[in-house]
Amino acid sequence: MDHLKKGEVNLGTSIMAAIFDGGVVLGADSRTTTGSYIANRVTDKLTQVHDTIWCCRSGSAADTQAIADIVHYHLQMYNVQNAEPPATHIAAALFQELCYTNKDQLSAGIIIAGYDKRHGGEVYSIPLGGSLHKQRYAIGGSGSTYIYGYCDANWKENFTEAECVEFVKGSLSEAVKWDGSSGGVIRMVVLTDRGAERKIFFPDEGYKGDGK
Amino acid sequence: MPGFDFSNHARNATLHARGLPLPKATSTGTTIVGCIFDGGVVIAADTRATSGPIVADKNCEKLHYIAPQIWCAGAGTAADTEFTTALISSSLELHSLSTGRKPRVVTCMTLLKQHLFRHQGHIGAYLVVAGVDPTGVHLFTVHAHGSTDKLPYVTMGSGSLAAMAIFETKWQKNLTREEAVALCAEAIEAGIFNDLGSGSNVDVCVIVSDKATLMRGYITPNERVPKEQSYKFARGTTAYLKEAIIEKKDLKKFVTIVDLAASGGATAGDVMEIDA
Amino acid sequence: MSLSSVEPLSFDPTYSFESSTSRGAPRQHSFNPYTDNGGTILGITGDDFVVLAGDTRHTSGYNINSRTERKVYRLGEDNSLILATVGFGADSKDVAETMTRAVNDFKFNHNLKNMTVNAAAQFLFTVLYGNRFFPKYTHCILAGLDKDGKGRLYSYDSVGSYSKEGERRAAAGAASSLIVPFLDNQVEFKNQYLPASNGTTERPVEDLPKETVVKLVKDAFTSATERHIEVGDGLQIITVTKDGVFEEMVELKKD
Repeated sequence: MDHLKKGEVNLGTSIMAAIFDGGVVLGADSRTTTGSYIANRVTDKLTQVHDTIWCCRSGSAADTQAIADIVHYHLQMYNVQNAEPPATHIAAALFQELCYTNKDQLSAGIIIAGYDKRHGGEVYSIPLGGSLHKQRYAIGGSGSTYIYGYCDANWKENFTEAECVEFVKGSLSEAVKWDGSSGGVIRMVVLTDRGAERKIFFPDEGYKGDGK
Repeated sequence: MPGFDFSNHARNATLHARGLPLPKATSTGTTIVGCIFDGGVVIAADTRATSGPIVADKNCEKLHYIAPQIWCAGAGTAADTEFTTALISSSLELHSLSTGRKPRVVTCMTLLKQHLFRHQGHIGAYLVVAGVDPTGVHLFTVHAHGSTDKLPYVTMGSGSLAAMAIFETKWQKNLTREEAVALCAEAIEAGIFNDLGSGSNVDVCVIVSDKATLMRGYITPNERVPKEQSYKFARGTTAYLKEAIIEKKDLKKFVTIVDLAASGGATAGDVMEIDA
Repeated sequence: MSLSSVEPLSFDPTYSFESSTSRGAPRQHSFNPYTDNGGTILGITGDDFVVLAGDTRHTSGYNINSRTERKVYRLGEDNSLILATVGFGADSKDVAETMTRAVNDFKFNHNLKNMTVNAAAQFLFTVLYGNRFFPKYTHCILAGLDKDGKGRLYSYDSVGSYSKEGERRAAAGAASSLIVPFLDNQVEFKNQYLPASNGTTERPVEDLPKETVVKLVKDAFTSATERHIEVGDGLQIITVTKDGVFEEMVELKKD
């Protein structure tokens, strides 16, 4: 990647998020690389910025961690000052503000997904330039190029929760299969009115486990 | 926060553009590792510092004190690891004093990553942060650009691949203290022998809930063999241009003499408590 | 629905087809045929003997390729000719093989008469200079006994330049800058004055005994191993006397 600084830690990455009736699912692989070396094979690229607002990070690990930390701080302040939790689009707007105003210094591709009582599950994508796109599902990272067709063919309106988990799992296992800079376990987070639930799928089980 | 002095920047940029090479910083070629065990964490490092292909220091210290129960192993530019850890150690101590609580490892890690991110990778510090605090046992890596990872076993530096090879074949869950120390030492030795940037001795630091134990020179597998002959020169071998003999009673005319024994004790300041 | 922008595929070449990194600018691709494989060689002559030595570490970057790669070669089995080469390992070996073959061919073309050391020296010059415009990336030290039984030592640059008079001592390779000053002082007695002369008379140069030379060689290499990361693992010392050619192997530090 031309725009990455020399020796920088890179999230090679396959990430995605998709909405279903009553919530949203986030998914990511777990590989972090420096050049050809895997610096971390069990990375957690699904980062919490509020109770039921999470993000998937791709690009520079340092940049995306710094952005997520700042947004996390602002959302905590929002919650305290307004005495109510922020909606997903608030978080997305904060992310966009940071990504757009600092676009010349950042290499960050972020997907924001959240659940709130008023809007239900929502997915927002912020690619490299800092634009913001509300979507029903979003894919990102180097591995995503391999699964545009798969996702287009398999995504359906009004997924059930289980169907949505299968859709994310199926898409990411394809991305991981074809993309050399993605790999490791597949991590998922399901956001509903029950709160946040984590799932993990292992490569030695062909990503077919029960999510533990 | 440090005030970096940029007043020479324009001059140096001009000189560099005209072909003057940049000064070479001492880099700690380095293998550093860390590993969690039941009840604590251990970090270890080799002791070679290099400047290009030349060994600048055969027995340098890469294990840095941050707080009584937080220690840090540093790779990258020697000055950056040294200064950055000292700086964060200082702010963590002040933070601890003002809150009246023991410093936490996540606090230390956050201070480090924010400092390094602010400087966009120009501070070449690659760190393994380890410690025990009231919230538990922690082990992190912090890269120069400001990214962090949390893992049960970590390696960094030019010898990180050799060291990680040991961890990936021999690490298992629920290690004892002795097993963890042995594993870390073996990982460092793999770096010492297989990576040219790493060498000399193994330093180890074990941190448990009530104390930290620094074991400097835990293994010394690279002692120099004695020389074959003496290279002592006969008196008078070296030519000199002028000779002046100054007697001890006249010494004060040439240099300022301070009696160390008289002002003794105050020189070292507060001595850090470290179990040998 | 598709994204307006996706990050490009991460691609980090680690092999030696280098390309410029600036975006938009025209790229020039190039292939670098040379590698520096580290290591150091050293030679010292005495009156009726010559010693050539080299460490046995073979490196690329921060990696060790071999701990047992010898750099000092005998050019035939019944002569006194020895050659040490250092630099790019593949070129070094090629030069040594070319020399061995030439010395052997000479013998069978000249009624089993061995090539003299000065003839071998001149031949090595032609070999190296023959590659003037695509040089062998190697520094050579050639040694042997001349027809009077005196130790001879010739040192070359990568395109063949050498001194026909030969030299008393020579060092080349990674740690040569560490070893040469030591040799200047201990073999040529540079910066040493006769103690009684009050710094007016330089200590006269004299031939050293073989035992002293071998000690100097060992100390030079153990010291270079301490301070240069590309030197270590093993030390190969070949001594040539009228009684024959002897090889000694010594362990060096492996860190």
